[in-house]
Amino acid sequence: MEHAVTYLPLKPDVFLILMALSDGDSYGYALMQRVAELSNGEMNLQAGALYRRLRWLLEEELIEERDERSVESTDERRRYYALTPLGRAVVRAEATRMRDLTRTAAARRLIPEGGRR
Amino acid sequence: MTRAGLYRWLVRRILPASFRTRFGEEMARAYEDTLRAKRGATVQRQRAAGYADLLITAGAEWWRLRAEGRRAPQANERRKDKGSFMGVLWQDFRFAIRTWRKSPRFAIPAVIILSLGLGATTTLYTVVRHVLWNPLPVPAPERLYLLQEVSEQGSPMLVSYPNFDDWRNRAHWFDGLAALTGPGTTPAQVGTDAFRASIVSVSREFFTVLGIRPLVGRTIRPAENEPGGPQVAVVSERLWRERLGERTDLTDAQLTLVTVSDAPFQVVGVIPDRYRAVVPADILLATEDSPVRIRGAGNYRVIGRLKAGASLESARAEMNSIARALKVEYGDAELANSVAVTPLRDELIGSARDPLLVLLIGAGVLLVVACLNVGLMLLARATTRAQEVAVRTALGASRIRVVRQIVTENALLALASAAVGAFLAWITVRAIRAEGPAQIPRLNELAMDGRAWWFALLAALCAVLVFGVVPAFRLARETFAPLRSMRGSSGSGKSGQWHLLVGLQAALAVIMLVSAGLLVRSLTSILTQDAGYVRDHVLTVSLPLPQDRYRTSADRVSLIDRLVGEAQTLPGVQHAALINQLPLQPGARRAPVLIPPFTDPESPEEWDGIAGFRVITPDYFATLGIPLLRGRGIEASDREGAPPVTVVNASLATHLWPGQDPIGKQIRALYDFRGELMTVVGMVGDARDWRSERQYEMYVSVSQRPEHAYAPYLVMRVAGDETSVAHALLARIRATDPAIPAVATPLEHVFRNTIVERRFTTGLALTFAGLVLVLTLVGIYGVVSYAVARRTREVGIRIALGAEPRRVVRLIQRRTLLPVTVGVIVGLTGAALLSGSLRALLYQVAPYDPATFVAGALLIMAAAWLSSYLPASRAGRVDPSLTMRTE
Repeated sequence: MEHAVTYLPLKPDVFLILMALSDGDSYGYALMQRVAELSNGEMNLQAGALYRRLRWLLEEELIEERDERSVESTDERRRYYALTPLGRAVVRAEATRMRDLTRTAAARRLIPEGGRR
Repeated sequence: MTRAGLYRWLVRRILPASFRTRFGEEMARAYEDTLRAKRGATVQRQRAAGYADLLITAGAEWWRLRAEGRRAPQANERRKDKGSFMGVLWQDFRFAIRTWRKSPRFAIPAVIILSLGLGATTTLYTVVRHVLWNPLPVPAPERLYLLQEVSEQGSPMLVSYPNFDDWRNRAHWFDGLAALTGPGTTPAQVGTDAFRASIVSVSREFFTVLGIRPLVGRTIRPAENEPGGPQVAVVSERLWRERLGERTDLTDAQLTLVTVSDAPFQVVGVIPDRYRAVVPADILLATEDSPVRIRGAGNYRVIGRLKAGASLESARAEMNSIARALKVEYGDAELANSVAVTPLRDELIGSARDPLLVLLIGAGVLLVVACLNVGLMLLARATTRAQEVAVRTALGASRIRVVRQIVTENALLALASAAVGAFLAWITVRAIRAEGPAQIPRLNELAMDGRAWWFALLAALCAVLVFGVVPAFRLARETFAPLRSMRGSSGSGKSGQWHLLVGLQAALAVIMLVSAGLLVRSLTSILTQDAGYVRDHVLTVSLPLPQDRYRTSADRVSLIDRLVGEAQTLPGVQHAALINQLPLQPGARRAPVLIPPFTDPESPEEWDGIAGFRVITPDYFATLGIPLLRGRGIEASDREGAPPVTVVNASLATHLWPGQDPIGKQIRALYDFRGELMTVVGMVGDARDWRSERQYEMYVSVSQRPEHAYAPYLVMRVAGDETSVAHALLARIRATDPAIPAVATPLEHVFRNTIVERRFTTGLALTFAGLVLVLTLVGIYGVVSYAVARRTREVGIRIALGAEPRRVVRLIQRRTLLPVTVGVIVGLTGAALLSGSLRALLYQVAPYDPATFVAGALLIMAAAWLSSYLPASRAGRVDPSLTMRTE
């Protein structure tokens, strides 16, 4: 989808939320945890920040709401969110963009061999 | 409300409706889930982060709505949000801004007036907090005490090293005792850079007892503070910046102090300048490598840190018993019987206390007057606002909603004033830090800190309560009344309040003017009084003679003779002489005097008075222009071996021998260790220090009493340029002996230095009084203008019916001047009641000085007349036909 490129570059937290949703539908608290995991604990979203991003993603139709369903562990019902096809395209486009960037950086020996840093 | 409940409650209230209905519930659950997952201390952190995030979210969403609303107004969104707390507050806030923007002629003066009051109060708060409440920037300063021996006459004395040593070994109620010498000055050198620096030496426990931490390096170690220890020095931050280039590596920082020792001192540390009140010197040396071991030679100020929980009484009792024990043990009658233990804080604040408190009250009065003034303005506005409020109430606004709106408006006013006022205070505080008198401790590190900003805000909020909330409730109560007569000319019942406010302002203004007037009169009488000697064209040169080089009296006399002789031959010098203490020197040597017959000169009952003991060379009286009234002055023939003679001043002569000729009488001074009777050969006029009421003086010849001239002053009467004479003389002194750290100062400067504090206080008091006066006038002007505008119709009718315009003007003025007069009378009474507390600051002015009181009252009355005449005269020009037509 050509359209997806207009969203790039994504803010880091938005990228992480979309990536979290690419593993499957999820709800508020679970998303926060997943984002923290994916970022090695560096991105700790608070509830307000998360739902502000979700509002924007919903408005832009990158994600959509699913019906409420109960969470396995508890009896409470939660509203779930899922990627739209556009959302999936956007997160892919961003991942590709970042891969290209890291390749360029590696070609300039900016990334030490074998280590994370 | 549980904590989780608070989050939900906030979610319901501060989030915009659109966001809240869609995500509010989910958000709250997610927040609660995160809390549940945390343990221990992280829960608190998470909670704080959660609330911060909630506030940010609310702000961001509201901002977004507002931005979107500009693009496409969403009526629905607005209406939905009307109920929420933030929504209403936001609405009130915007409305308030609009209101003030529409009436800048009200808002701008109101903010200026209030911010003046707030600025003054905040400034004084900052000064007082630094100087009075916290002059000692050390841990637990309240446990620090100054320990002084008390002489037989009851005056405190410096402590000798052996006594201090015994004290610190015997005192149990103190964590430690520390000693430091009074500050002296010394020539110093770093590399090739030579300069003069102030110096003290301190005992080994000094830094720990006071709790002084170094800025760089370390302090002097106890092991270094022993006889034969390494020569180390600690320097002040100022010296470190100016002479050591702020180096953090002090290994090669060496200080040469020729007068102290031939070998250089290693600089080991730097102490911050904020300790200057306690350590008034640039160089600190260890005192215990060569203490003066003479029990009678008081040299030290002793500071003790009381043990936590120890009572002052027990410490005092212990110190007194130690002093008595020492006296018995050493069988020395000269030793003190008792020890004074006074809080170090009081000692440091000293004379700065009274003036600062007076100024703080003055600033408070200024703030109150500013509030009254703005209150007056708001009252005037309330009359016009009443219609608007009535309409809004009629259209369904609740009373509390109306009150809230008005309070919001006033709060906005107060916030704006607080911001401007704090800014003014910030500027003033900087100015005071740069220009304030050095005698007041810690003024040099004055700064607007967090607490000062809070103070400004808090004072502003109090001001809102005073002048904002009351009118708001009053307005709301009146609801429909103004609708009955839509002209808004109702409110004759309010004139009582007007008058009260105007009268109160006038009263406060009188109090301020009278107080400031008394201070100004004190200052002018100090400046203009005849001190009995000449200050103009008199140059003084301090000559602290290095003890090691001028040990014997003969050494000193020959040096003094030589220097005075050289000074007299300098071109431009008319007279030159020497004296042990300048007329204005604090701590001038004073001695009990006795006239025969007496049996025990040591017994205070037999003393006939206490006189300044001044040692001079022959030309002294001519140099300072002190008139010789009888007999002769001190002459060159009054040498060692000749019969001891003295010259007394007129006050001492009339005190000792009333109605008799003093010439030929005999007198003995206790301070004169030789115990001889001296013969009075002359009487001179009084040369007075303005700080003491009556001053008895006796003068003796340096040649006969050279032991008193170890740090004398050269004084010279100079024709023409003082600077060139000073340079020439200092060059001669250096040529004679480069080790004498001579400093030249015009006598006028010495005098000015004794009044800097007073000038500072008087200047500020005058500024405050002036501001209060201006505010009062502005208030009266505003009230009268408003009254005239309100009563145009009445005035028109009166003029139409044949009243003379002049009489109408007078009628209006009378109505304003009556409360002013009452206020002035109340103010004069108040000033009379309060001026007694100013007594300590007054000089040759009675606290009830009639001239000042009358002048203050007249000034207010005249100013009130003028400021009411201008607007009232407008009423006289009212065209009756015009006013009638508008009806």
